[in-house]
Amino acid sequence: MLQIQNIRQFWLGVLFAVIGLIALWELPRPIGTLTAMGPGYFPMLLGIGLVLAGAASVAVGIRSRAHTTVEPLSLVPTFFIISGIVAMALLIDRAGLAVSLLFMVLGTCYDRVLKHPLEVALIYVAVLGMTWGVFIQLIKLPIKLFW
Amino acid sequence: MDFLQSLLMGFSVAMTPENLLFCLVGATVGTAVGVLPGIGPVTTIAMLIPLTFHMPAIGSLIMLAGIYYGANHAGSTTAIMLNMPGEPSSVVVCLDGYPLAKKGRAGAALAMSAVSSFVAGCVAFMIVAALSPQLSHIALAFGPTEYFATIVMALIMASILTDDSLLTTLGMCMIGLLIGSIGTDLTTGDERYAFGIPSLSDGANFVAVAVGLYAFTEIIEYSGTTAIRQKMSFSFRGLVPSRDDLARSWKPIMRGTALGSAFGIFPGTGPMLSSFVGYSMEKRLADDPSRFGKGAIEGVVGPEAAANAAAITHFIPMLTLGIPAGAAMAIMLGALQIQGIAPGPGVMTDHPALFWGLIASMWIGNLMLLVLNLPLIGLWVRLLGMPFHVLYPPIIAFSCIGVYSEQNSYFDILFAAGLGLLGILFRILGANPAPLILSVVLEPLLEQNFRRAMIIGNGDVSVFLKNPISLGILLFTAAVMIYFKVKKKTIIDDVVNLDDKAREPA
Repeated sequence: MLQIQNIRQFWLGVLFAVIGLIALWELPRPIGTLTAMGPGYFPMLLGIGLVLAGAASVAVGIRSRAHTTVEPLSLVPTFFIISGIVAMALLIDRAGLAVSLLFMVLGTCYDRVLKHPLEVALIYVAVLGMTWGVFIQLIKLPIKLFW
Repeated sequence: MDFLQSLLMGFSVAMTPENLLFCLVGATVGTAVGVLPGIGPVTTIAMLIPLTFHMPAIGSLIMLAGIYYGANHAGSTTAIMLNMPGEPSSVVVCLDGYPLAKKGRAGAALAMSAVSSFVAGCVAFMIVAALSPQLSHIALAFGPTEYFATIVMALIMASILTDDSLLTTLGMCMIGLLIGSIGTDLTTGDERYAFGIPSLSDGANFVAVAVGLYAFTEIIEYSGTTAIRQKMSFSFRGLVPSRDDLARSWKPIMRGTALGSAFGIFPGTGPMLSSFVGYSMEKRLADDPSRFGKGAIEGVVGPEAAANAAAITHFIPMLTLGIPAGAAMAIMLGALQIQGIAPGPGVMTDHPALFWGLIASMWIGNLMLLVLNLPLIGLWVRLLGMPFHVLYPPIIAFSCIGVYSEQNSYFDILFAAGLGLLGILFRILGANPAPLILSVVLEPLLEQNFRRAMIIGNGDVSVFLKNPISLGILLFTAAVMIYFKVKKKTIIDDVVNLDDKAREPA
């Protein structure tokens, strides 16, 4: 089994090709012709281009002698921070600013919430006060503070 | 004279108390952001765009521009004091700035760097004011083939800026163009990649893309890093540069300004590249290159002038052609579009107050920075002691609500979160997202002009090579690309070798 040296280029190529294939699979219709392009023509060029760039990238990754490493994915912060944001998105219409911000702050401060609960509470109150003042009072966005 | 009259009008717009305040806010926020290594100007601009929906167009643009050049200006403060570049463009300032600080000459280095930024800013400001009207006239005569070639130039030259391979940049550009193509097709009215989601049928929310790829990604990447607490002793007596400093500096400042102004105009290049080339150039021109890396004042002022000049002339392609020259400009262009102003040569003729007001505010902003940076230096250094984790919740809160507020759509926050994940993947794989964000903004312009060019050329792709202007632009792009692919190694070697040496004893 040969060892891929340029891992970054290899996986980037895979990523490009996957995105290109999704674009081609979901291609808007009709495609049209070069002189009368439909909505799908330009995306089709991009999809084909991405698949080609991806394939070339994979080939370069396999054949290249340049050794690259992939930086380890910090799974824990990624998971908690993104979860906090997703929770905020899903709650903001239904539960209002105060509740949705609570979940976001809990997600972002995941590593401190148990060790320094008071500090996290203070951060939450400060963020709630700031966003309430700026977005609801000052620029009057139609966001409810509570449900 | 027409030019002077326009400039006077610009100053009268920029000097209103309201706009002066916006300029001050922008320059101050920019300085703070430039000092803090965790958040960059692109993130800050992306985060604050939603606040500007409710501001007058000119005020919001003045503020966002202030953030941008303020951050560029301030990044070197931490570079000199702590050997920690606040912004990518101030990496080279560390090389000679920090050794100067270790010799107890931090004050002189800071003062000279502020002065060189200011001088470069003034010259670049005059260039923007003088050149933009001319370029605007030329741009009005641009047809689809010329526009298409110029956009291709912007996208390809963006690859010079990044360390990535051409293949990676191309892929990133195409992903960006695909994201830009989401929504209703402008020509046929058909929906593309909207998947029945209402907020996607109006096109991908640009603020969501910017926030996801920059703000969320940066926060995830930096979470877990702790603040740098470092005591700096600093006295104001040290701020006065010696006669020798001035004598050594004025030529590098002039050279750096010329270089940066020229580089800034071309899409894709910009402050970082200018500062690298500026450093390399000063080292090569020096009588005694061995002084570099040990505290040569030329190695501070030259790149500093180049970076700041480029940061300001960077506005030229955006204001005259509607083609942003980098990620920060792309986001500002998005802000302009949200305000209902179609970017391009029309900005100057249809919104002269906005155009000249913004330009005049840049000069005022640079003056403010001179005042802000030097006396308040102690405050900025203290800001570094601020723990990062306290900053994240408010940044995410502002970003999320900002993204939500554009269409009152919670889906846009989810979309931004998805792009945040994609951004993390790009970071892990070492791909720079700047070409992607540039492409998202340029997609409509690129596609429309490509369609028109194909209709005019009757489906013949060689139409781009038959038109002398577009052929010239494409040839120029190819020449610059080849030059830099060959030269980049020597330029980077000049900087990196020294960088390693500088880090060893620290």
